[in-house]
Amino acid sequence: MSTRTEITIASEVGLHARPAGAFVKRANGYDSHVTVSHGDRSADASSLLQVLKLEAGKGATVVIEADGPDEEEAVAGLVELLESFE
Amino acid sequence: MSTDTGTTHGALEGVGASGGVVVGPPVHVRRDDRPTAGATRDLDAAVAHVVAHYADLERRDREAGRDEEADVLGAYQLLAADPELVGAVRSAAADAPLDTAVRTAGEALAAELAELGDAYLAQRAEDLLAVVTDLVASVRGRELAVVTDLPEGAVVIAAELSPADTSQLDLDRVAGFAIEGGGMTSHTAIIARSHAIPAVVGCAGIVAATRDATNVLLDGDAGAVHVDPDRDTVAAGHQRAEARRLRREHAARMKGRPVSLAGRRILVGANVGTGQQLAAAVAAAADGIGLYRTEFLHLGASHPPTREEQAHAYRAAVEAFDDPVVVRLLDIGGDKEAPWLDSPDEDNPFLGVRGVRLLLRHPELLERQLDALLDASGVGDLRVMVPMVAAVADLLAVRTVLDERAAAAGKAPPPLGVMVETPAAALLAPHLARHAAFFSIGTNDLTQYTAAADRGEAALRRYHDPVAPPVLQLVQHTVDAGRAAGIPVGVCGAAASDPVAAAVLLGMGVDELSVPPGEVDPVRALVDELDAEQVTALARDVLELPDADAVRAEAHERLGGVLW
Repeated sequence: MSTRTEITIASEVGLHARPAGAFVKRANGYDSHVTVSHGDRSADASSLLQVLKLEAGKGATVVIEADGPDEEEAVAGLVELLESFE
Repeated sequence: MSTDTGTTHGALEGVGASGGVVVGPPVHVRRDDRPTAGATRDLDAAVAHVVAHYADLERRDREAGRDEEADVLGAYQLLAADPELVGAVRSAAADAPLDTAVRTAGEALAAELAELGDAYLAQRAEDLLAVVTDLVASVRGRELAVVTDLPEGAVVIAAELSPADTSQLDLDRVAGFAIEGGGMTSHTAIIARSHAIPAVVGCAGIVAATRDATNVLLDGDAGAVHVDPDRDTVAAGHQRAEARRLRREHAARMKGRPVSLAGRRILVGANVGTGQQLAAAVAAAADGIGLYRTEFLHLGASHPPTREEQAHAYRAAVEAFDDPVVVRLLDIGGDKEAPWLDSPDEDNPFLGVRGVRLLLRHPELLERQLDALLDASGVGDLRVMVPMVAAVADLLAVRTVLDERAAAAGKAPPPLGVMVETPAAALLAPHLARHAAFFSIGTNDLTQYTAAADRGEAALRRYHDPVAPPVLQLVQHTVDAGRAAGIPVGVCGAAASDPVAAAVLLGMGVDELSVPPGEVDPVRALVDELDAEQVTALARDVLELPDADAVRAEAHERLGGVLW
């Protein structure tokens, strides 16, 4: 089983720049394997390159999915982080 | 437009990214000849080495309060250890030496990012290449530090400078930057501007040209670097720097002071397109807003802004000034698209359904915006401007809707004017003036439409000068029509803050120059210094000249030191 949730990017710059770096850093802090997808593209959340290539701009809906011992905490933490960017 | 005759002779030209003139010894920062420290490293060791190097630089920047630079170095650590990069390197290393594998895999990933066609991602591709260069050096057993000792007053010369390179520099000792790569938005340009260090970027050949040089003169305003300049060149450089300093001081003294020409008040307004720019315009004590772009409220949002959202924004602008606030109706189409509007694919968007043409096809957008403007009217001096007018009927159609909505709201309609940005509008000015409360000349579009030269196309740059005589003739025609009808005529394009163009426009009789907030003070100082009779004669005479270069040369000849 894995935990997943959908979230709309509210940050002005999208999942780019500072938000993208902070997102990857936070994802690296969990033991679970985290993926984030936008449309038909999916990225390993520990890869800044893959996250950037999602091209998830402001208003994009992304799906965060985690699989592992702290999967619920990971998804909740990452959602909270994304919501903190304006 | 280097009509500053003689000063760029024998110099290498680039783009002035941060202003000022400085003379100093060139110091080369090269990533490709760093000393070898010992044995080669395997991939894991190299990644760890590079990440530790960036972490060290990040900490230094953080301690020095350079948070933006520190954030960039944080991202560099993620890039150096990126699982996609590491995986691609491992695959490539199966049949290539490790340093080659790092370079080919890294370059392929960077190319992939750059190809997505997004300017932001293209810059990240540059970052990735900088990281890859450091990884290659580490694999080869080299040190990562690029700079050891900087002499006081050094002019730093490099092919490219990454944020990691720049972080190693003691900026107190750096007098200037001359870089082959980069652009106005590159890291180096941003850091140079924030530390007020003169910089020239995009300066091809500077590394080779300064290899054996002892001195360079770097002119960040003109975007030129003189290698081993003679005494006269240095003296001229210092003279220009001094003139600019005096002008800046004059500009600072002019803040908020009304200016006039031959007793006629000239408004120096601000162009704004975001809340931030509005705040900057207020801080600059501009004479109102000559161009309030409403696209920012409409683009980027997932839905069109409501009447209330718009009214709130317009009211904030109107309440901030006693002088007129000219709000341009939504100008989308062309190169600006709204995600929520189903825009047709057009072969020539700049010649297509944009500005008033689009508004008249989407009456709900026009009505909502006019309702919001009416809600915001009554407190200050709000005026409404119609973009992309090319026929009298364009203006009359908007006039009709505005009158209807005003009657419905029980309010007087605000003054309605025309943005003169098509040759058709300029030529129709006498007719338009009978129905318009003001004209504002948009020189950027007027220039591109007059020469039929896309202003986004760098290869057509020689057609983009707003002081080209055909453009000036259209401007003069518009100004004459406005004056005959007794309505004010302003200019809100880039020409308004271009000193030569501004002098000519004032000589033609325009009443307002609307400029970026940061240019308000310098333009006030310019108006303050100009002599009315001189610019009137200049404006009359340049109409007889064959091209923009001749106009600029003539203006410099006559007005000399007043211009910059």
